[in-house]
Amino acid sequence: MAGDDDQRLRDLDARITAAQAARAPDRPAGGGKFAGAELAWRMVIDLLSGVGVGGGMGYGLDSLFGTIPIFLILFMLLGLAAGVLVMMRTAAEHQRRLTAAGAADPGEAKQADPARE
Amino acid sequence: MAEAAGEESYIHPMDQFLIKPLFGDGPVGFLTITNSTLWMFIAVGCVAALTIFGTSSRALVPTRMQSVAEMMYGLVRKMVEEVAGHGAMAYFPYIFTLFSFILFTNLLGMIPTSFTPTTHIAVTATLALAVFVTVTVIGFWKHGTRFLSLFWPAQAPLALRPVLAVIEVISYFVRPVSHSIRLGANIMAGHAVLKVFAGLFAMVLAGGLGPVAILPLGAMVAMTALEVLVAVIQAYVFAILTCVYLHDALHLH
Repeated sequence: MAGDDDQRLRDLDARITAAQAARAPDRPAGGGKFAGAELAWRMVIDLLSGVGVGGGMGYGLDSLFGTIPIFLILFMLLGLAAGVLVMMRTAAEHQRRLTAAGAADPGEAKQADPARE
Repeated sequence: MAEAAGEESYIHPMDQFLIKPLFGDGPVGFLTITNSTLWMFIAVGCVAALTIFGTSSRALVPTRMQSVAEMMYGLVRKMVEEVAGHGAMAYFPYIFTLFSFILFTNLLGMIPTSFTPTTHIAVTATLALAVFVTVTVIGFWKHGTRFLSLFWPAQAPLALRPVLAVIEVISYFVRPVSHSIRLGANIMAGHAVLKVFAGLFAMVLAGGLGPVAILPLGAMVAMTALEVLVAVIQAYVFAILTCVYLHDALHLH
């Protein structure tokens, strides 16, 4: 009897999965138009906090060695570079996800592949 | 005179973020119970109610409450599996806790006259620092000193490596900063804008321009809708970034 129930549950599970797959939205989940704005905000904040963190580190080193403003300037530039680095990674990751989402559609995936290096 | 004072008092967009002690008027100390504490507890209570009472019947065909709890669970579980990758399931409870806590503090903050703890950088920075420390400890625990290879770009030219390493270290420390600012600033800005429109509405009415008041009122309705969206998305983004950081710590490049 218990085995019979298990079988029924498995059947139900399979049917639910099939029904969900049939009703799943075509585009990847992520909020449509608003997802782009979110990504942009993420990048801007990453960039700015990169400069901020770099500047803070530089100021700390300066007050440690009494060499203001050498390290401040140096680390602000490095922080900017770090911000750009984080930004580029976010972009690369987004690209990767788009590619993964487009994998169901072979033509689109092939198009996006070269950008993945 | 009285009217001038009244006109000035319509817009106080930042007053809603004031921390007030709930009992007595003393200074706000480390353990003072404030409105922020109260709303955090309410959020925790709501999460507990949803997940404990919602699923207590363990019905095969879920009730509405159980369905909501299961959807939240499923969402976070899928996110952890997809983003954090293999072996991250052990940290699922932590990410689910973060997600549900932030989601409920954000959403409860949308109730008029309530308080939103996540508007304060002190709260979001604590959450982000907790993630930062956890992820760093996990990295060192899993990989030992090999974890530091995350900062050493081995494929770059030798002369450039030290500079790049410094940049990598800075970008690692950028994480908790941007992680906390993103959540706090988004929620705070939205709430401040809502209050500005509300003050504008009151000013227009008091100025005797009755029908024009529909403009700020309409803007408020639209902003409220947008803010509900932002409340959910920011909770989601916080959780997904935690997964990304966790992924980096678990699987070095």
